[in-house]
Amino acid sequence: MIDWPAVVAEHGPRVWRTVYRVLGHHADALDCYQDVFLDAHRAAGRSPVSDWAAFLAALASRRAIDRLRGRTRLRGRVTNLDHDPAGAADPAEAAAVAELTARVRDRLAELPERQAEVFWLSCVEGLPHDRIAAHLKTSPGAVRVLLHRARAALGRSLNEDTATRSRR
Amino acid sequence: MSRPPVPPEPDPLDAAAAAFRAMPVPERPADAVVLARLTRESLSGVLLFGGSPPVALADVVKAAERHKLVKYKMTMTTETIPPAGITADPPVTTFEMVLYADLRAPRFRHVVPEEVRGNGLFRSSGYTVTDLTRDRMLTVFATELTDKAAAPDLSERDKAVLKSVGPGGKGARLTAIPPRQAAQPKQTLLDQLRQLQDHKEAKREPDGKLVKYTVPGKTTTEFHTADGVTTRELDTTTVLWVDPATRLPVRMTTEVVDPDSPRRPNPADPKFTTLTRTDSTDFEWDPKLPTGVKSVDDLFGLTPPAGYKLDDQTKKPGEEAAPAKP
Repeated sequence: MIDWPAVVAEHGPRVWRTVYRVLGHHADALDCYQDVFLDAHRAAGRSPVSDWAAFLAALASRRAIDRLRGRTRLRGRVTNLDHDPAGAADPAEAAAVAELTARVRDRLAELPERQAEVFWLSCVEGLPHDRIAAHLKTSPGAVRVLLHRARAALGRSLNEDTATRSRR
Repeated sequence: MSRPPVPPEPDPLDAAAAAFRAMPVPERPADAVVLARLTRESLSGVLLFGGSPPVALADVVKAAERHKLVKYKMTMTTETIPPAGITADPPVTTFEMVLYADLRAPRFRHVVPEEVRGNGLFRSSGYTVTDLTRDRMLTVFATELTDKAAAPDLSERDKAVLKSVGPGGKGARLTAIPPRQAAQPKQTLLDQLRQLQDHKEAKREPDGKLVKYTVPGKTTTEFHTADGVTTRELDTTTVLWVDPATRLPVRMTTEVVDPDSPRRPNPADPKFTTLTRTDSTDFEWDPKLPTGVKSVDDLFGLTPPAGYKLDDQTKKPGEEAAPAKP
């Protein structure tokens, strides 16, 4: 029997951070946060979970990126970030950081599902490749390939964005 | 004197990852909120679905995303209801069609089954391909005169019908999608399901062996009247029935109620209510292609089959065909 109050208390903060940071939108993050635990509830009913931290991190990033993709497709980029970028005392720097994260969000939504998920889990969440691989049911080598492709695609997109802006 | 080494330019992706990690987050929702939802979910799962995991609309979208093509039957009914005090019996119009829909692009093919028409004078059959990616529509038809058409004692009306139909045969017509339709959102069936998924007020309940979702929403409708063009948002209810075993839709109905319809028999009358209902049933996912069609692109192609004479109405007189959108 799973002790859900303990799971939510222990892992809730990380799940919340992930969905909020991926989505950058409070109302979307609230919905997504609950959806992650609903998904976890269903999945845990089908097969036991051995590594709750990695399982929920993977689920949270997947759910949030899914929602990001749907949002980008239907409504375009949501720009009303509810926060000021951290550590940016200078408004110009704050604006540059906000713009960079918004651009990465847009591009993340365009990546294939698994590439986006691996990029987030590895580069932002800092999960090691073997734990990501266990949750994607693949090998650490395949995770490295996915990460390489994700970084290459994101890098290309960001360069194209920069080139387009500088031409204007 | 050597120049100090220039620090390498930071990788923008690493900078973005660091910015995401440093992003402050507001306080998370209380655990009690999540736990209450999990409890509700457990109860509905046990009570409504006999313990099997309930199907979420996201699961339905994922199941549909695994397919490229869907075939279904669609019945569209439009009913006009007069306001109190007006005596009128406006007709109920019903269209029935079998549709093939591309799930990856807004392309549709509706099949017109063979039917005896024109007062029994000819049989017709065919299909129409609507390609919203190129704003083009191809209508392919075959007509064959019946024995009645050869009778020597045809009425004047029958003669007029025959004259309008011509001698029968195989033809095709390529037209541009009217600007009004081209301006509407170009959605696949999958896009519609994704929109339902995003709807927070979707209500789920069991319906026999199926799961039924009722989703309120809005439909933007454009009206062309003598006073000009008006756009209104009408209340819409979509009901989706899903097979929990396959997680795929088995039926979808959409009802649009317009309590203030400008459509009425007499312009002096108060406005009527119109009820437009679309009922899609008999879904087949990745069905067998019709005879003679080799691929999905063939199915939605804008070139008529061999032996059909094409009348390209996208050409203006004396000009080449207007280019279709790439």
